[in-house]
Amino acid sequence: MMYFSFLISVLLYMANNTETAKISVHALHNTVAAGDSTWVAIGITPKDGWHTYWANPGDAGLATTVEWNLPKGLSLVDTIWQTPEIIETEEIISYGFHHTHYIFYKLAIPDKLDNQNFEIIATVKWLACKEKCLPGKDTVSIKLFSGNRSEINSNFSKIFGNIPKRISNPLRTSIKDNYLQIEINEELKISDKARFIPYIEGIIDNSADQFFQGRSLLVRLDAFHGEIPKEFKALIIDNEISYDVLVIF
Amino acid sequence: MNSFLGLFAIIFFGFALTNLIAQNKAEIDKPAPDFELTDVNGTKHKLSDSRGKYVVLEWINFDCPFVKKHYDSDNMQKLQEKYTKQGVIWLVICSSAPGKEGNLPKDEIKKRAENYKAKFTAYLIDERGDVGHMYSAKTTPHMYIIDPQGTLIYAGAIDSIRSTDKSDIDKAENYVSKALGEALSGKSVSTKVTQPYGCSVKY
Repeated sequence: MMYFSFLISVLLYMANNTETAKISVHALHNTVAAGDSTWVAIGITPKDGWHTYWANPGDAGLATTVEWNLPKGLSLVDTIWQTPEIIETEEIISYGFHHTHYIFYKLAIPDKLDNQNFEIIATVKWLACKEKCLPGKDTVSIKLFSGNRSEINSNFSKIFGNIPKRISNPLRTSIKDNYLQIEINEELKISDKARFIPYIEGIIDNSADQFFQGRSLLVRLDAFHGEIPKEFKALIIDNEISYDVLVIF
Repeated sequence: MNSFLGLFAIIFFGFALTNLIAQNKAEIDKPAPDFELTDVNGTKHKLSDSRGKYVVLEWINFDCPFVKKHYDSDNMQKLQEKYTKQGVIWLVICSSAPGKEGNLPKDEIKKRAENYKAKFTAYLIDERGDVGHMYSAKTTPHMYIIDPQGTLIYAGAIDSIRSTDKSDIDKAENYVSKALGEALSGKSVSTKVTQPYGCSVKY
């Protein structure tokens, strides 16, 4: 049996590839109560000089993906990405991270928990690029206990930053002459340096200038864009501040 | 007066150049911009010389893991073989600048192509990136299909699963195969544009 476990560990290790980034997992609470919710985070630290990608990688690259293996009854109800850097290399615009960053997941705990403790497992896949690109993969896990909700882990508070502020009112948009015309509402006070980036690929021309016409932000569409969704999530980065917005037609 | 004329000339030529560049950008359902590139054997290939045939353009960087996915699995070679047998011209284009990843010596290119048993029509070298920019090629691979009249009828990804994992190929919908299949059987292409995925083109 021990031999079998050892073999499984070796095989798992071989299947993983952590040459270009280190992966960590963190929990907001060590002990969670039935019917409650909590947050867990995946940390990604690219090797020096390398970068990994945001939800929308930009012109090229690949978004980091996290596949959760959760015990029965637990579910993910929200995801928050930290604000990425805008990386320009060889005339290609990418959205990603050169340094340690986190993806946060809200976990809903069922009303009834069968076990005293449970393990949540995450398989993380990423693409890291420098002058060249290499795919990476790692599996990480964390054990949570059931009971009265515990104190917040102070380490978690330290990492919970650089996240976009959520804007409640959706932004109305229309398309004119191959440009998205996004009406910026009063709730959003942004400068003319603001950069609009959809969470999904292929909508906008990532290299094109974005500019204001009255209260509308004009963003050029990708020359080869497909059908534009009737609503989609986007990030607006304005200097040190960023906003999560919902764009609707 | 002379400085005024000089300024006018700069504005005029700047405007003309911008217009020329805009006209030479590939757009779906529009005439594919013509180009001439030299292949790895020193032979020149002009796109317009292939008029009357379907042409596939495949942006390549042999060291990119996304390209490796489709060559190590034999997926790309099978597509090349299937369609070149039906008369399709399959042009592979490398826009990697000198010193950048994928810009390989000619002997190395020939060796890799031979080892992979690649079945493309020609491997074209675009070191300055002119043709890459003309087609807004962003990734390797990035695929384009041009019909016998010279119209661009497909631009985008090779398939629907954005990964470097070979095991995803069979599960994915191959957009190039779908578009070529439709076009060769006289139908219109149902998916003309998709979002490409891969390494950035190393301009």
